[in-house]
Amino acid sequence: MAHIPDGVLSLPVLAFGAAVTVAGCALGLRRLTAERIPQAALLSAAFFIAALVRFPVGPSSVHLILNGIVGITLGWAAFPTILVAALLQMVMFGFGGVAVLGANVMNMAVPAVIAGAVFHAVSARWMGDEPVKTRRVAVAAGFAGALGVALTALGVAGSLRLSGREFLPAAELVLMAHVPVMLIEGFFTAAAIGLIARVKPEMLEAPFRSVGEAAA
Amino acid sequence: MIRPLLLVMVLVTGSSSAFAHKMRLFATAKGATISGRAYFSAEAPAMGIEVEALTPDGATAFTGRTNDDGRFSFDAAVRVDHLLIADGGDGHQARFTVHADELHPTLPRGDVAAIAPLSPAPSATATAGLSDEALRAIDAAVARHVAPLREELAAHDAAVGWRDAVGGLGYIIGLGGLAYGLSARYSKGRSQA
Repeated sequence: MAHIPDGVLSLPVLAFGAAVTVAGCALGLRRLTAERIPQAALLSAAFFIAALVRFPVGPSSVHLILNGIVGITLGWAAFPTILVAALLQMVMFGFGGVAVLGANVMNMAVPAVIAGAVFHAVSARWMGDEPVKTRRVAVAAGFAGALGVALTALGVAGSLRLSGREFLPAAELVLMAHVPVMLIEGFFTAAAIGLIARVKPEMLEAPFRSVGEAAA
Repeated sequence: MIRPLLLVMVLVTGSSSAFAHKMRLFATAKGATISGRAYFSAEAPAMGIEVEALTPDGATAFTGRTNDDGRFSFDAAVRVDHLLIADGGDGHQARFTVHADELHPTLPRGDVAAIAPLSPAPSATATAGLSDEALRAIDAAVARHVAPLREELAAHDAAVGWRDAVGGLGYIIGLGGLAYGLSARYSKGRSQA
């Protein structure tokens, strides 16, 4: 359950989540160059809609998150991108809540940034030349996509634990419920990034440089 | 970029037609029995979910689990507001309050300060010819007919539809355009300075 509703988490966790989200957005907005804005809007739209793809898993229900692909293509700019989408998911779909928005965005955006960083670190070192390169890009992207979901599940379990719940049962529940999502998103991210690598590889250039560098 | 997005759209259309992900809870009272249902959407009950009922003084009136259809029920002992909390343990949580005046008037009242104001006593003329049993039977019949309607209404209110999705997309596109336009103006201003 990536969107925790109001009234579940304790105040310190809510405050921490809000602080992390504000800081992340400040960093992200600086890195968001004008050329990347249409891309960010597209990914925000995909992230927004993805929450409607729901799977019942045992007693629970999970949805696609897509934070992996957002982190790979946008880096720190994943924060404002996910904030906008999560805010609209709250207003239009009723997912999550006002007080818990910061914590929910943190649980989805921090894994996005990490997944992106991992992907780019791996790409820089492991890729080799064509034709093996595109295949490896896809595999790396697939793992990054699954990693994004796994870290979100851990973040949710951690937030619940810090709000007084027992960690292990919550972590087990959330992680196990998200395994189908990890698999699906792994494949989806691999397919999407593989396609981009073939068709428009410049979109995959590490988005972690600052605005000054990108403009130069 | 477009093709994978189309795949997401296809998945969205293919998945449950009543888009919903938030866990919801609805309950009604019939006589002294409070029964309710926890669900993610009309077709997706929340099975085996822990449910707790709290009275206004903080005491626990009931703990239990939902069955395979997401339903649960218990008998209320006191005519007070019951706050029902369904918790999935994984972050899903839903709350619903069954008000005191939904419960049968013959239940013992709780602490005076805690109960909702009693509805005015039925006028003598309206119930003159009816026995207590008849009144109870009428009460039960009305509850039986009205409860499913209220449940449907709550589920309908909660359902997420295409309009919400399209509305959200519109905002994202608008914000993107605004951000792009503003950033262009800002950089133009900077180069002119």
